[in-house]
Amino acid sequence: MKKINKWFWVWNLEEEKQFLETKAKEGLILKGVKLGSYYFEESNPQKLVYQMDFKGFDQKISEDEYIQLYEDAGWHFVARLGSWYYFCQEGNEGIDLSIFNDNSSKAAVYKRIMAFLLLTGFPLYFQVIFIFPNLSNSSLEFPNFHFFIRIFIIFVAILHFSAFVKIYSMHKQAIGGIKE
Amino acid sequence: MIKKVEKYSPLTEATFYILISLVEPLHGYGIINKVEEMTGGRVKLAAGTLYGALNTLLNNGLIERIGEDPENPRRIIYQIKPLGENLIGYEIKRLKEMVENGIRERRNNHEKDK
Repeated sequence: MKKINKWFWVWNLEEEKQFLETKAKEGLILKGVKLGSYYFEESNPQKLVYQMDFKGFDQKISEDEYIQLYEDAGWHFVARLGSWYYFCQEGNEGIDLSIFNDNSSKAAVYKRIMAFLLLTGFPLYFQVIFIFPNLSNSSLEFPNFHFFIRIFIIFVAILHFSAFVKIYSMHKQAIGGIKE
Repeated sequence: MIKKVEKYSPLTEATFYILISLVEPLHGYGIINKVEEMTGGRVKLAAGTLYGALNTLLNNGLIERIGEDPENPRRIIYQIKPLGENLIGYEIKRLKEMVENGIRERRNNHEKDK
């Protein structure tokens, strides 16, 4: 097992996919994913295509059934990270290996990600917008512990917000155009 | 009370085929195969689209689960509900109108050129 630490933001899906496919060509086959680390097994170089899907929560279809659907469509389940599922299959030239037939189902994934972001973002935005302005100023000056906490939370909130904006624009792009 | 089905229209091609294939009980794999056969291999349902469509059709009461495959309980069997049948009827009428209009307009135009 070989561990590689690498970080991809949620809007860098395409780069992440390319990274995994390049590694497979070098003989490193993905076995597991943790936040910021990828675990590979060494083998012969292979031509694999990876796809990541965000299952989302509050879905009527169970994880078992979901993975079975992917397997029935020709994919192997590789790993899971939170609500993200990693699938792969051998890449034969000239065969379309998308996990979507149309733009609207592609856009639906971005909607699931946005719903997730909104829910997780709520406490963060609540802090920044309602709690911070009402804190007493003395505890927020430079060397104070709360000063660093505040800077950190604002930093995370900005990141979170930019993730939302980027996914929103990807969603917009997916539904644009005349193709269904 | 008859629920309005117009709000679900127009369906995407993939969703339409998934819905019409469920006039008989089928699991996901069965749907993929039936749609591929019906369209002579042209429409190969992709996993993410199938998952999204089943989810939406379930949430809107257009299809229901009726059991699982005894050989593989991870394969859930679905079937269309009356609301889904109504929606198919509505879509067939709409698509028929589209095709007829397309044929007529093109024919009229060709006759003008002569």
